[in-house]
Order: sequence, then C-alpha cells, then structure tokens
Amino acid sequence: MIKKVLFSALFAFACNLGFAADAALFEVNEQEISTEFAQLDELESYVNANDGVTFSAMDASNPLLANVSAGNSALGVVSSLAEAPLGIPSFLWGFCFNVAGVAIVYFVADDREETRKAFIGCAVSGGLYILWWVFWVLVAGNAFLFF
Amino acid sequence: MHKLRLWVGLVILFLFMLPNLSIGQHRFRLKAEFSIKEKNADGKLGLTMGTVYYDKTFKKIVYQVRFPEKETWVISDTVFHRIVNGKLVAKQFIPMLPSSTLFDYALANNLGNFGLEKSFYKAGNPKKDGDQVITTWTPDDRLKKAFGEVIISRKNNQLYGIAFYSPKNELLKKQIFKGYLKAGGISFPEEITEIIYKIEANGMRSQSTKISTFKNLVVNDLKDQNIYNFPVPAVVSK
Repeated sequence: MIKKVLFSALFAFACNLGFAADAALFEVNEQEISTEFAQLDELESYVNANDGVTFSAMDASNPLLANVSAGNSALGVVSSLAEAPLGIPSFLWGFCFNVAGVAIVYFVADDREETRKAFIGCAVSGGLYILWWVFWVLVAGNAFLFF
Repeated sequence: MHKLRLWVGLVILFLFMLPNLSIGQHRFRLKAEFSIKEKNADGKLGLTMGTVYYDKTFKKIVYQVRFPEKETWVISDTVFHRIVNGKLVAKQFIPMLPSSTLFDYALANNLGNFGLEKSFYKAGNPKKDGDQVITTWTPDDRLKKAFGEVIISRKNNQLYGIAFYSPKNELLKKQIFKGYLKAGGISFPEEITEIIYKIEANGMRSQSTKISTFKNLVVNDLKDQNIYNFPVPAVVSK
C-alpha cells in the first residue's frame, strides 16, 4: 500500500515536472533584458521626441548610437513582425509546383543555392511520381490480369 | 392584425438586412506604429521604427520605416521590395505569404493558435500549467523531416508564447506576447519578445534578442489607400 502511494506521488511529481518544463520555456529574464535594452529605449525616446530624425542625421559621437548599426537587417525585422510558420522553403516550391516552382524560385530569389534546392524538390517529386506510376503498372496493372 | 403583419414584415426585413449589417464587422485592414529593438549575438544593437500597414484584399504588407533611415518595404506574394526615395533598390524572394502572418491572423481573430489549425500541423492534448495552457503541435508525418514541433502557450485564452523547434528537436526560437492592443473588435500584441537561437560553425549556441512593440492600432482605416496598396516600381534601379 505504501509502495503504491509512493509510486503515485512520484508519478504525479514527475508529471508536474514535465509540465513545469513546458511553461518554463516561456520564462525570460526580464531584468537582464531591461538592462540590455536600456540604451535602445533611450534612443527610441529620442527619435520619438525629435520628429523626422534619422540615423545619418544624428551626430555619430552621440552616445545613444554607440554600438548601434547604421542599417537594419530588413529581412530580420520583417521576420519578427510577420512570422510565417507556413513559410515555404525552396525545396517545397520545387516539390509541389515542379518546373513552375523552380522557375519561380529562379526568377524571384535570384539565388543559385535556393534554385538548387527547388530543383532537388522538383527531382524528388518527379522520382516519386515515376515510382508511383511503375507501382500501379507493375503491381496493380498486373492484378487486373487476374480478373 | 395589421400590427402583427407590420411586425412580421419588420422581422423579415431585418433578417434580409443581416448580411449587409455583418459587412460592417468585416475587418480587412490594420495599421500600427512599431518599433523593433535588437541585440544580436555579436553584441551589435539595432533599432527600427515606423508604421506597418496590412490589407487583406491587396495582400500586401507595407512598412513605412522612419528610423534608421526613411524607406518603404513591401511584401507581396513571396517577394520583399525595398524602396528608397521612390526607387526600388532591392527585390528578394522570401518564404513568406502575407496571408500567413500575425497581421492576417489578428484580423481574422485567429491569433490564438497562430493559424496552425489550418495547416499541416496537428494539435496534441492541451496541458494546463499554472495560468498557461500549453499545446504541442506536430507536423504531418510526411513533413517531419522538414518541420519541427511548435509549442503554443495561451494565457486567458490569448496567445502568450510560441516556440519553434527544428526537426532534430533543437529550439530555434521563441516569442513571448505581452499585453494586447484592442481596436475595431480585434486584439493585437502590444509587445513581442523574441529570442532566436543559432548554432555557430564551431558548434556553440548563440542567441539574439528582439523586442517588437506596437501602438496606435487602427482597424479598417479608410485613409492612406495609396499606402495599403503601395505601387511598387517594376524595375530595380541600379
């Protein structure tokens, strides 16, 4: 009986540990972040207070600009604001849309590596189609001969 | 008897008008001021500020950036356009569709599950932990080699956190949503803290942090039509 109680308690404890790990995933050190971003908070207030001010128009020696990049990573910024879990990798463009998908990646991305991925996707898709066709002709097709 | 007929007539008229009345509830565009603060793994800092516009009909996300420099970014289909002084200076393919973004989900009041319920992801059983409800979403078996799990946390029935994993179950990034702006019948995150994890060439893990804040949310704004449907120059200027 005692063993059962202990086992149940241990099991419940283990389950709670598992849940805690999930919730803890979304905990962040607010204090640390606040300290790290204090300079940027000040810079933001400065930009809000000085309408139309840009990085290039500010004095480079301004301590608010210390260690701040002059340009921004536009795509990085966009990915923050417009996260897309359904973003379509080049491989899938080729896999799903075949030659048209490769053409889209080739013309739009203008990137050899991305185009190569799309081409691999297209080739895999084509290979699967041929296998599927062979399967139906050789296996299912022969099966029809028995009727 | 006449009164009864009058009432029946009014009820029928009301029922016929319902579809027209519901058009007034249709949310098709939003705009908000944003600021994004970044601290990269190398310690470099970044600040980007401006206003973002999204229209479901035009399927365009338009960013009017005012800091660090004045420029316009337009995302339509899967193309990112960078426009400076009215000239298209760069155009790049990005794996992102405007209809699969935070903006579209917010307009559809579908932010709670980040649009995953309409995807190839399947939800596991939700688990309650304190004030969070955690759900693990797993991709379709056929896509498990390309996509990892996504864990979603909800607080007070609103999206609180989302974490993306690689197919090898490595944490790629997580976002925490703090506070919500409310306007025109929708809720939109007021602050998003994002931590991105990266495995460097030497095998060490590094992380960068971004804080996105939004204010002055406007829904179904009928002004600025030319911005919501920003005309992108066809040719990249050299």
